[in-house]
Amino acid sequence: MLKFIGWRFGRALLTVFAVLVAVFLAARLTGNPLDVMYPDGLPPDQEQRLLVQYGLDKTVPEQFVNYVRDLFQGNFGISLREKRPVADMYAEDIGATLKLAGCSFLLSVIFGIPMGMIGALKRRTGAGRLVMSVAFLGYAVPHFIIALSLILIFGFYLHWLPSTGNATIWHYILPTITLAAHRFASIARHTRSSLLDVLSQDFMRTARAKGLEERVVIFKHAMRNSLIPVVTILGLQIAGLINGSIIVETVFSWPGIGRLFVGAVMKRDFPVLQFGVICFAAIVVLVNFMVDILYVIIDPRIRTEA
Amino acid sequence: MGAKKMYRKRMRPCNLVRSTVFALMILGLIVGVFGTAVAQAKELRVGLQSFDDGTPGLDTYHTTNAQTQMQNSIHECLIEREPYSQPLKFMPALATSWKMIQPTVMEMKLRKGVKFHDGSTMNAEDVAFSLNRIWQRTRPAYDGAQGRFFYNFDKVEVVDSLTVRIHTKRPEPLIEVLLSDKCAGIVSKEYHDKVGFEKADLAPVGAGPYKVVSFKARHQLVLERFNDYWGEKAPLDKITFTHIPEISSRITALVNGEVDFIGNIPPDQEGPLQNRKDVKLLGVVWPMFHVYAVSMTHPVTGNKKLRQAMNLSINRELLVKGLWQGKGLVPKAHQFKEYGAPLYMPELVTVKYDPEKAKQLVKESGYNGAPVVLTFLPHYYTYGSLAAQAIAEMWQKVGINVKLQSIDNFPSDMKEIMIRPWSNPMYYPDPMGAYDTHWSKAGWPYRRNFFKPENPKWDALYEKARFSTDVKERKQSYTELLQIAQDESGYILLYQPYESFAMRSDIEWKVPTNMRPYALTFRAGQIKVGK
Amino acid sequence: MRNIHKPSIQTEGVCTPEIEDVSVGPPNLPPGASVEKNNFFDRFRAAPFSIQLCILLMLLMALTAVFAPYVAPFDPNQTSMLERNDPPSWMGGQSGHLLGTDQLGRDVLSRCIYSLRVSVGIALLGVIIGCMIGVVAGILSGLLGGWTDRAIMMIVDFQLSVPFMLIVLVGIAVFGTSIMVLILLVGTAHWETYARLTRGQVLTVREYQFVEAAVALGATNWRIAKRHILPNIASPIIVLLTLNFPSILLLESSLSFLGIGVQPPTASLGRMVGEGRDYMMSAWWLVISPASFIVLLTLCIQLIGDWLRDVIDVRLT
Repeated sequence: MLKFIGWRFGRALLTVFAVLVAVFLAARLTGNPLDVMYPDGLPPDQEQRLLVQYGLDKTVPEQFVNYVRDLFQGNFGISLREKRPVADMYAEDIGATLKLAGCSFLLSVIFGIPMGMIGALKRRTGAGRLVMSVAFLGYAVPHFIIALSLILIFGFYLHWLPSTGNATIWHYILPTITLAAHRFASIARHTRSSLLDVLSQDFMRTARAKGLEERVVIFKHAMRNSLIPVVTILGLQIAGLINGSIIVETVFSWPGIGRLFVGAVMKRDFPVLQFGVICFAAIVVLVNFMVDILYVIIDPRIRTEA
Repeated sequence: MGAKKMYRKRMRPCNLVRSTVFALMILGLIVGVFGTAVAQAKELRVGLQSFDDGTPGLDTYHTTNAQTQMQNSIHECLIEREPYSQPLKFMPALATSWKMIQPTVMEMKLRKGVKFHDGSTMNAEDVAFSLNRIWQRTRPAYDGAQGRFFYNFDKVEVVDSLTVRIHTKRPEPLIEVLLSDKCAGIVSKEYHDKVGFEKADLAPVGAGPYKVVSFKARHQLVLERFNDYWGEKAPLDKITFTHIPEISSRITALVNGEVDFIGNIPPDQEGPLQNRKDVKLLGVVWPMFHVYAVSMTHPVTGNKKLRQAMNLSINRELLVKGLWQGKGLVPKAHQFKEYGAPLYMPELVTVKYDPEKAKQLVKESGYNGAPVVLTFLPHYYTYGSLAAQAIAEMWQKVGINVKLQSIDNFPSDMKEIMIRPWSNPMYYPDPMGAYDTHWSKAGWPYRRNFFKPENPKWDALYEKARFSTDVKERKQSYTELLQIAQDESGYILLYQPYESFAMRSDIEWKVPTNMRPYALTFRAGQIKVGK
Repeated sequence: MRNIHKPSIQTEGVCTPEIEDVSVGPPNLPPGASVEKNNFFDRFRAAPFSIQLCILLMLLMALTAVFAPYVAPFDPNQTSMLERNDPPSWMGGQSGHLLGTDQLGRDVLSRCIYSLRVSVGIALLGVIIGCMIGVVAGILSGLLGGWTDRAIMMIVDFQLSVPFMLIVLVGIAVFGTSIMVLILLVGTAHWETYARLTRGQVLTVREYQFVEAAVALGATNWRIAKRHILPNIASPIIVLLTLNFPSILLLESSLSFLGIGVQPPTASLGRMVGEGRDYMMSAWWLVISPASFIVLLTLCIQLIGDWLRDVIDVRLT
């Protein structure tokens, strides 16, 4: 067991390191950040001065060593554009993104799971297919079209809801719906397939044979068993939600990290890009690691050679 | 005021969810995001398309269209321009009087007791610091402002605590107009020394009528009235600039009462805002050209006749009528009516459309059909992508093999680039305000081997147009310069763009003609809000 | 770690397909006796009406895309400056275009038809590339085991821990925005799902006695893959393909929203929607027409995929 955890942990560390190397190199391949910061160009002496100031005059391996050393000293870099610590920038904006992600996650669960249940229980009927179609429809429309349509309807025409920023709880409604719309389909489908799997298993037949009421069978036996994999997957999807916010944040002028991410790539703000990607990778790898460990603990049958 | 109005609006729907909505609303009020004190203050909420062009910050040295929207409220110059007068008038601001004591030296008396936003008092040291750092390019960041406005300025000399002398390298006929650009704004030296360049850029301390309360470089800037401002106090208690990049979101935010003032509305988006009682539109043809800079040194476009053909084959009437719905302007020469008499020459026509002659020129040029790559910035200029596609078609028709290439950022090595889209705004109301700021030897087209006029008369004429103190001579040489430039076709003028501002109908504001395009003027006498 | 059914991580919200529910039926059947016995036509007739409709629509769109030059009423790139944003003809449009004209006066219908070609082409090539990479990686990983396996699983981990949207953004920033680059980039979108699926299958199959016997008899790895593994994963792979296809289609439109998708003058559905979004208030037909194509395509394929999943999964029959 300990050996497995050790192996697994080593792999996790290695992954984060690989991401670190990759993002570092990839960032430098996108071009010279000064071209973006000074679109009209700089005289060579001034350009050299800036390259030295940002440490970009050194060879890439040297830059990398310096960067890793700084990371270990808790210095995550200074944004080239905003000229302030990147950690501060993320700290400022992560809250807005997380709150939005959380709300839309809740909403998509509240609607997605019942949809999946109907889809499974009534799967041979028109109703079942209709429900699933509605769930899929949410996925089929590009994010920004949903977002702009909502803004037009509830903002421009009806004046019911605000469309920019995150000042009040009212501001959460439209972006939350937009983000959740894409998740209905996923959650509904997971629930549906998981429930279908459970329904076809032997203990369900046993439960029915015992003469239990159908409702009890479904909710007590089937749902409970089918939700376990669904919940596991949902937990992991939170990471995905943060990512989906890139477009939503732009349309709703939401002050979150999605825009920060895209801006960092487009404007070649290397420190911001690097820090964001590494943090993201670390979170995902950590969650993944814990899930694996949990699996082994929960189900001792899963024996491992790592 | 704004917030209250919004809630009232939202209560309008009488349906089943109303009670829920109401409960949530009370909750929202309890959360207290909109305090009542704020709601009653005279506040202007502005929705902006962009906050910067690459480097965020509000210090004086930024020269972009985006930052000028905000800088004007924060910074104060030694001399201020009257925003609307014609001819141009200057007003004493941080300097109370100025006079030339030598051809290259101007002595200025500073106003006594002027406070900066941090409470410190302005003196000659602050003036010397603010201007010298840019003129002497102590940082690479200052390069843009120096090259565009101040390459003829040498230094500020401190005489005593309220007297400075401005030294120019050679006599400067444009000294007042240049010193009244916001790039010559005065900031607190003490503050700069204390917090450093980086922080001072994000939270600048100037002497303008509004002070910075908070600035989030990608999201929001909050300004407040500066009560110790030396002049007439600002009319607004608070200005909030919010970054709303999407046009639909911006329009909705205005109609929905979330902001009071928006800009950057292209002509074909005006529709939803027309004929509304709560909103009024204010259209403006900017004193600005959209331009294609054509490399005069690239092996393909180095061919003068080919460049002339490209210049002659663009149907600008069609572009203005089609793209700009007839609201933009077809240029006749590189000049704007905002120069006013006597320097504006309405009779001067250098830009022409003649596809037949263009065809002939292509033949004469010996052009071998090598691809002419039209590199364009798809998202930077309004209709930039559409214009590129339309112009490519026009060039194709006269026998030029055009290839479109979209690009987000131009590389530092411009050798491979043949055409680069650009804009030529009028930075100050003078022919040089749109010409010298772009096509001088300090500008990138010259420095990066794009714009290299071959005509031997060019340099002498440029000298006179730029530095002569005789208006007639300036005018004459400028006319000749434009004719040569047309012959060289190192740049191709496309059109003068049209855009609209939209604002709550109880706001009174007009576009300042003596400021550079996009400057927002919210000082005393420049805006009225509500009754 | 052997065959843990590990719930994979959804790393990219904008573009991830929802594929985790593709459960591979336990292949307790001998090879060759795969589940798919009856032919497609029988299946089609047995399918519910809605699925039949979806399949017909898909066929129709495929034909339209293939025969675009014959179907499109106008040249999709012919601009007409003075007829910009003209409404559809049945709404009083002046220029007589069935779905109106766009920002440059081009026929929206013709552009949609040609865009269908580009978008479907990108998505199709994208899923095929991803599938091939994934299956090969999965087979290598499962059959060879050891360090090969670890290395490939490392790459899978890597892919999962970087937001995919970011990989694409950086890729485009480095290699430019040509269609080939775009196809290759979206091609790397979901390879890891195929890889994991295949690997799991290989590990399971390897345990069977008949495979062990085959190995003992000296069957090569390639032969084992061909005879025993590919037939068993064919069905789930098809389902996976139908689920990944829409996500790539949507990814293309997301990229266009950010301005880095297909570049002008080439038209794609994503770019039409991405650029037309500014006109939602003033000229909605610029958005609604291409968006409808996207929605229809995506919806149909998802429904078909879901149906296939039900039909193929042996546990449910």
